[in-house]
Amino acid sequence: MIWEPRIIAFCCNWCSYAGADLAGVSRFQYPSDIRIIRVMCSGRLELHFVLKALRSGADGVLVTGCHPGDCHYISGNEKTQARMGNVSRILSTLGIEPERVRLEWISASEGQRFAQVVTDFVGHTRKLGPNRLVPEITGPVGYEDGGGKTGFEYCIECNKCASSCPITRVDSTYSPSVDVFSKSIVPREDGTYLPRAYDCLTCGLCSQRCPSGVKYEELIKAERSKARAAGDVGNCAHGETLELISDFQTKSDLRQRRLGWISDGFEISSKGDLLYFVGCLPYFEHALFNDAPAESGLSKIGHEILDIARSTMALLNRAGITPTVLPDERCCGHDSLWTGDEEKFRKLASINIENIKDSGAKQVVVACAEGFRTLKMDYPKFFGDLGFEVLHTTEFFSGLVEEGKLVPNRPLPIVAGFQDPCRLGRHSNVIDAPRKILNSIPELELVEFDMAGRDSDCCGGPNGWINCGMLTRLIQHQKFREIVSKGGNTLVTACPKCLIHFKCAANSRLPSDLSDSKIEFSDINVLLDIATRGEGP
Amino acid sequence: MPAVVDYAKTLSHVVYAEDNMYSCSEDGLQSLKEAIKNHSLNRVVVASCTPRTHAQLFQDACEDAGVNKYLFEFANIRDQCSWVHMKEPEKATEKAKDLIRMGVARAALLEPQVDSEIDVMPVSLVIGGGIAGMTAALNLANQGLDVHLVERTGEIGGRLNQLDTVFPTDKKATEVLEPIVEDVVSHPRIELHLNSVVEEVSGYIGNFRARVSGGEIRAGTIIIATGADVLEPEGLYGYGKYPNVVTQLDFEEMLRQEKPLPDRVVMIQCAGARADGDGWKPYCSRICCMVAIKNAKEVKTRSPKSTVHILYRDINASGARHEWYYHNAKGTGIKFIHFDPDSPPEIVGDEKATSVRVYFDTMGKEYEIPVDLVVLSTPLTPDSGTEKLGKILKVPLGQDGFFLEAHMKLRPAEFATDGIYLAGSAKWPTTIAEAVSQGCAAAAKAAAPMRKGTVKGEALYACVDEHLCVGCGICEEVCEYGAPKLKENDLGLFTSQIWEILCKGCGVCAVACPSRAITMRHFGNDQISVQIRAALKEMTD
Repeated sequence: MIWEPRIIAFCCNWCSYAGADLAGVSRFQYPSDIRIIRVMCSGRLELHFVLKALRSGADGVLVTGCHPGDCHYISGNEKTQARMGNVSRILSTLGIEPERVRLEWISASEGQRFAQVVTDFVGHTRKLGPNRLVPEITGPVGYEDGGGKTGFEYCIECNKCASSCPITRVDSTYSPSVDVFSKSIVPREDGTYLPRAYDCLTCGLCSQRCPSGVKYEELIKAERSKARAAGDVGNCAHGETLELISDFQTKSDLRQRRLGWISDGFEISSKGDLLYFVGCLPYFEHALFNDAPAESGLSKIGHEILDIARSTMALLNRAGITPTVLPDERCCGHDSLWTGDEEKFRKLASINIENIKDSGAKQVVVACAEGFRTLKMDYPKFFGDLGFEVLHTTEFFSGLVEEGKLVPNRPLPIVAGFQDPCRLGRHSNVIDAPRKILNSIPELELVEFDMAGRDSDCCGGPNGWINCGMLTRLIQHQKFREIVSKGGNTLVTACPKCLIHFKCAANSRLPSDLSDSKIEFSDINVLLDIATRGEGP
Repeated sequence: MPAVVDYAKTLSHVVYAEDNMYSCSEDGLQSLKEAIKNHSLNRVVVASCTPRTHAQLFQDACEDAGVNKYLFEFANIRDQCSWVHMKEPEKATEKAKDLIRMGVARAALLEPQVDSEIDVMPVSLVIGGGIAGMTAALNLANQGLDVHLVERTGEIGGRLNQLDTVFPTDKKATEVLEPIVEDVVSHPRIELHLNSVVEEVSGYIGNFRARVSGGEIRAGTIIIATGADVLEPEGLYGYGKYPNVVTQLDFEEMLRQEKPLPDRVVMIQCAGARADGDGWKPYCSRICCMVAIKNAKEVKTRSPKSTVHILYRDINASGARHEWYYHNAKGTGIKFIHFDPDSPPEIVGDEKATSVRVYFDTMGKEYEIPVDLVVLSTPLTPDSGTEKLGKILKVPLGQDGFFLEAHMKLRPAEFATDGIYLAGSAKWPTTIAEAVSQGCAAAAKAAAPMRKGTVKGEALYACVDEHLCVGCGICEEVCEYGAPKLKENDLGLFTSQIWEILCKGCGVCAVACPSRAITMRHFGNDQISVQIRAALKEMTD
């Protein structure tokens, strides 16, 4: 069969859709490979609509709107233009031809131009050939759900879970125990799932407190898998963009261009004993807060978060280590696993494991708590012995500080509270290492939260980007109040997700009692990097 | 067609499909209503022309048969399929099937919506006291509606105050203007606000609040009739250098004051218009040809021995009376000389312009015309306050900087924003007759909701799931209409609320919302995503 390109076009109701109608009325002919979707304004174009179209097999996506200055809604098209820049940067980083996506301005009177634009774009897409990047995943596959794994039938109804749950604390209508009871007592029809399966933060405090060994977060994973099978994927923040990016990464022959952040000063290698697993940091810049005004703190978060990778590289190089950085590293799969998509997790994990093994790495360091937990605990659970050791950067760097290979001799006069990320402290028992680092920095005063270490209280960062909302915000505000009450001025974390969501909360409208508070936020690797850059300002 | 209908029957959710030669005819609509009743349909997809012209017809039929109008979906298989793929009938048929599949998939996810109803104050705010604004004000006031007429200067009448005569009647401008001004001033329902400017406007159709030079005016509707400026062609054809090079507006003043007229006058058309260049306007200002002919005629009438040349690129005298006016002007001895824009006229002179050199391309030779006065026909340009007022009222401007109407053909007197209307040269250079027509049109449009007392708002607005809102405030920043506002809730959290009446349904806030707390009614993520999937894969039973 001859291949015909399949093209999705988005047209705005007032200009380009009318232009398309005029092309029809005027009988201007163009190739039939295009399918038009009407939106009121091109400003309605979600970044993920474009990614979804490509993910679903479209060979090209054409976005059209009113000419600049002619927008029916004043400036919707300007926003589209800015957003399309980010689409193209994400596609470039993924190694997908950005030319598969095009933005054109077509007025209601430009029927001929509409036909020309379509003809040209179809021809152009034809030259690019078929979109071969349709992900290699079929859809939701059930997560194994057995009593042995979740232990829900051992519940003794003590309600310790509910009394420790950070969500229950801000919303008394939510309770892990109620979910467990309904799971164990109420018979359910096939295909149904716990209605609030996506509210759990999977921080695991309840499971730690449970005297009877119920693994609540395992239960949640299983329930989310059922929800997914029923078509409910939860409310994915940032427009599903991050989820779609990892969808593309399941394609084994994807060739990403994700090392753009590595500046000339850094030394990396393609093979060696130590590998730095970067995670999703290179994608955040163009995927988070796309439409926040340029001057707002929110718009900078995605860019700032890459400092974690830059600092980690700087620290490794400073200690005389040239790490391997994979040019084709995939999403670790953490979010897929925790939102019930085991198939995608397996696909991503298996590509990563193969690539890491190929690099000859004996040690893998991860600066992200989620990635660390996933590689250290979940990869072996699904794939057996990996043949390499996984360390969080705090473990690795605290060792280098002790050995004198990193010397934090620059004073940082801050009062810092350390947010133990759930995946680092409670899940993986890495508690002392970050404290060793912080205590080694001159003039840095460390204050402890009431609930810290293995008992650490969740940051309110949504799990898998799906439960961002009022409840998580309330949790973040409680954190802010606590650090202020302890005289702290800086919240330090060891997880990009904690940091992103703290910063988002701090740059959103704060409740009146917090509106004057001045809290700084920092990643522990970035702090250590600053402290070891040598004396002087 | 039968193949397409058969295919439609195989799609999920489709329980009935029929072929209809003219779906939008009375018979077609009747058949649609019967199908809804006979098959207990709760969604309807029509595959025919375009929703832009025909959606309402089918939506009304659906409502008649008990199906909410928002449960109707269009598949555009004519304008965007059969008419544009006429040489590929087989592929067009396949595409039509795809478009119907997309329509059905979307229809299945549509939800009923309720149009809102808003009270409309029977008071209008007319901005601009020129001929268009005065006409609109009088038309409204004569219908028993109250009008606030806001004028920036100390007198009403606008540009007409500066004109000598008007075409095509050649009457004195004062003769036209005075009775209207008197009617406006003496009308009990018109309140004049002279030396006043609109500084701020909030609210929406039915209930606008405007700050006008410090005071507050409340109004149900607003009419923009702010007119236009005249281009001051600094440096062009010696304007500003030679004292005897003037604009048509300057010349009107000379005529009005009955100053002795020079014997030799040359008028240059399209001065600063219809070409790219620093300070030039790319468009045709439409009225300048007639203005030049009128003033040239006036010179010939007052001093028949004078010589008047009009150097032109094209004469725009469209309209029966205008064409005759032009024809008759030729009979008075005015000389019309065509020039090519690539070799424009040149002004010759030291202290003042003494002659105009022009290459008369019809004759194929250059002339040097001695002059006492050069009159430049310069284009009307957007009024200096246009951009600011556009921002205050949140209405768009077009590429040339004039106000941009909702639809060039079908909605010329109104903006996309409900309750705001447009007349006169604020939209595009107009003649007096056109300004009057447009003033009447804007008044008629504005009167409709005010006379009725209520308007229906289309339910295409954004809505917030407060539970998902994190109070980041990006929605407030991106909305041009001030529809989303952060408000403190019982928990002390700031969360977004949409002021539905201000929302225009563009969807920019929904896209910008990082936590996806905002969804668009009728254009939700699911409703759009399902079309993407349906376009790319089969979705059949």
